[in-house]
Amino acid sequence: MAEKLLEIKDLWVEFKTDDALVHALNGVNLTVNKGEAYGLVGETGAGKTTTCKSILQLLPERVGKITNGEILFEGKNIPDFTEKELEDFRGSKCAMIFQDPMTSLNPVLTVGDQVAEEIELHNPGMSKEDIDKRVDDMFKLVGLLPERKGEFPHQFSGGMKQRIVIAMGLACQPDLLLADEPTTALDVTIQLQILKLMKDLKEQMNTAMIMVTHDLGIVAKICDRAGIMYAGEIIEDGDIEDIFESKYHHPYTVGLFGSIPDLTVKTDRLNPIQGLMPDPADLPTGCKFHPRCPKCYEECVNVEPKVYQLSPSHMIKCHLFKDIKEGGNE
Amino acid sequence: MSEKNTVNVSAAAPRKFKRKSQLEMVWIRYRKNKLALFGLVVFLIIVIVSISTPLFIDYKEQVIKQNIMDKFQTASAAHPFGTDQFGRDVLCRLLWGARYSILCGLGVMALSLSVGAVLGASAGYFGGAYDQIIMRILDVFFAIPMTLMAISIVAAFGNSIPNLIVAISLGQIPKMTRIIRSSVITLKDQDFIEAARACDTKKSRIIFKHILPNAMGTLIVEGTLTMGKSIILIAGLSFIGMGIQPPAPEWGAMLSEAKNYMLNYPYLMYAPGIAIVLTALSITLIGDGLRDALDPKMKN
Amino acid sequence: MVKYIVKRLILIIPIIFGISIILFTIMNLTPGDPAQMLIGDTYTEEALDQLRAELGLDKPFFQQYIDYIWNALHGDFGISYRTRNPVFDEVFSRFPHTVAITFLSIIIQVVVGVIVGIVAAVKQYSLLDTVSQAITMVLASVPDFWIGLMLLLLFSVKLGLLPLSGIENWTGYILPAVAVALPYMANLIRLTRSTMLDVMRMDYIDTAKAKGVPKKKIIFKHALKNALLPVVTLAGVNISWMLGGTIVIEQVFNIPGIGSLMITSIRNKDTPVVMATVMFIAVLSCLINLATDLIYAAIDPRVKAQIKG
Repeated sequence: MAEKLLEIKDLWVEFKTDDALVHALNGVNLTVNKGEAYGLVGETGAGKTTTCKSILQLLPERVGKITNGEILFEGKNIPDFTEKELEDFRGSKCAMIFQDPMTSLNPVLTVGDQVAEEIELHNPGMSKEDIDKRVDDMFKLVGLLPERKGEFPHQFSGGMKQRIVIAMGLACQPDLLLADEPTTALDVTIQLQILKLMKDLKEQMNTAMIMVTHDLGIVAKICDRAGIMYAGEIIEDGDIEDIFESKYHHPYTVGLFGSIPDLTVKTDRLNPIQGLMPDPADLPTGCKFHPRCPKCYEECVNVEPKVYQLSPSHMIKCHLFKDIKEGGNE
Repeated sequence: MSEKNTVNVSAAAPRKFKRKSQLEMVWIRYRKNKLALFGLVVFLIIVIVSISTPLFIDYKEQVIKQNIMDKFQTASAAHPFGTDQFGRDVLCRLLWGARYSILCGLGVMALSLSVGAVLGASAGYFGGAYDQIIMRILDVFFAIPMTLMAISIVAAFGNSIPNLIVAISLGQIPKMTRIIRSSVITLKDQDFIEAARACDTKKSRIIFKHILPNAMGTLIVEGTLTMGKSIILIAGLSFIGMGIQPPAPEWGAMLSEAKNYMLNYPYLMYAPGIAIVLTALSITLIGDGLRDALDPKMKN
Repeated sequence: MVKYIVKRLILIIPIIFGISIILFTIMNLTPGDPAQMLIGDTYTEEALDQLRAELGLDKPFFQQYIDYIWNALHGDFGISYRTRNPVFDEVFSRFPHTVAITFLSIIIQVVVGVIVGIVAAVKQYSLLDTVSQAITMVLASVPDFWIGLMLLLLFSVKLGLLPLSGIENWTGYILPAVAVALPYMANLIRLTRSTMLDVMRMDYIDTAKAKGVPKKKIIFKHALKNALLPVVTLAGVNISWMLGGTIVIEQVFNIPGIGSLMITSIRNKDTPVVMATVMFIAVLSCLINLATDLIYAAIDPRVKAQIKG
């Protein structure tokens, strides 16, 4: 078994707004090993971004709160970090690439400055020339001309901005990179370039990665393991083979695969999952997927399902699997 | 088959649909804001006072009649706020003064809102040369400082209340027009306006039925804030003798008279000032509350 | 850049023309004869006619306007009907007082406004934030002349620290500047606080946090520059307003500035002085507007790109 880098244990997060109490995460369990890419898949609002932000302690102050659980990084619980420890942790051990490259760069600072700042912060005492050289290297690494580092974000296209954001994420060679839908805001040809870049960089630097996406194709291309998220829970988790090749799946996973148009079969209409993601301020009882589940039965409405371990690497949280494999654990 | 099943399950699941009109939702959000509610109560009291004063105060006898014998009395049961240099009861004058502020404030709001809405909506909707001409003319008015503008007009045409309202509105219209124009331009390209246009709806109908109601939130908030500002401005004009003239008990005019006795009878300056502050403050609070209630996203 | 500035300067010209037309019309088409006002109660018809001719008032309205513009283009703004002094001298003898008050006031409001606004935003929901919000809410609704009166009462009458009226030395400017500053300052605090809060919610602030940037640096390096943009605009607008809006406060403190000049001139239908004063203030506020935009461009590279392009 590989060495554990990050382990999230039964993480609950709430957002408290004026109008409602939103249950964003409801007992997330997740493990990422060193050098491994973990795909986090789910619809908008499933809690993927919240999971990432919790790891870096970036939940909005006063609104978002961790109510239960642990986030262990190399065995240490991140929520217990002091402000100073957090500053050292962020950027140097764990970096994050945000969803929208258009808004995640500061418009009034040059891109070179923004990359250099991170290097400077985590390498105190490094000379100006060395920092400069490192910035140039990072620019080259992500395929940008170092001469452009004196320019401002608005002078770059979306794909180039995302490269800068990635350069920023990797500048201090973190052990863990959180990539929050790094390609969603980009068009398809650029998406491919960026994904290939990230895959190469990950292999070069042996960085572990959590790849947040709603695109199963990306997971298949890049990730070693993956978890499917629904309404703030991970409802299926396994190696990439388990997710893509096992015959046992959570009905939601089946639905996700079913909603990908199959080019080899002639169909008249697409096959989406019926209904909408439940309102996180007003979650259904029992299994949270039951209102949309085609295989829903009485127990699903009333009893929350346990997590069933189908193989050492594959687990599913669904009542349907209690007979297939006995002895599920919480 | 499974499809139908799903639909049934979700329909059976308990779902509360809150059906409330837009207005109700705004009121519910507004009500939560204690300060805004306080502002509304204070404002309503002032409005009621200004409407009802003629019922219990006699203008000739209690507001402007001089009783030199009673001058500069400090607070007493007969004169809770004391009397001024002519022996007039300060409280009576203060209550009567609310009429001027409220009337002028409402007048300026109504005039600048309606002119601004028509100019701004048409300029934003039609664009082109018409828009250019309107906006360039307004640029000229915008470059004249508001107070100077008001003083010139009042000096030229006399300081009656309607003239005052027009004079102050002229300073507010350019800003109002710009705000409305820009929100119309933003709205114009949205799909539901495109849809209305595709249905061959008349232009005037698109402006009045589709665009203006959507810009209403901004309009109401700006209108309220304008009213607060113009009440202060009118008091200022009266203070320098270019607005409502003594012996009328406009608050600014009262302060202007009181200033002459500042060294010995400073108390005369407290009440009118506080009255202006309370009125303007209550209106500002209402404006802020409305802004948050109309657009919850803007709230901090 | 130069092209942009020149273009903006050219745009001022039609505005000034527009203002001159509006003012000239208002001043001339309304009842009241400046010559009559000037000459007093005892006069002969002959003398009155002579005075009218001297002031150019015997010509038709349109002719008067053309003459005025023609002379003004040659730098001659005429003589004051009231004092018979050149208008230029009249205006510039008064102007320094108004500029002094405006200048002092803008420094007070920007420095205090920005600092309090930032602290309130950074410590949102703290006692300091609540108190400053309450105070700004009230201050924004207080007429500046009443603040002036109250300050006079406190500092000049009760404590005797500052002069009661008039300008003998610079201390005379303090109270008027503070009185003018407070309501504007309240708005600056509110604007700084709310834009600062908005900026702190931006994605790029999260990016900076995720990089491990310390909180102080996030506020001063990443947030402040962005949050200052609207503040610069408002400060510019405030200067323009104050140049023409200290009229009332000058009356409170008996300061012989532009305000008192305007009031006397308007009352005496002293058209040349009124025209020159308003046009001068309008040109100034257009220039300040331009300066604001240039400062804005210096802070925000996106705007700079637009100006250059």
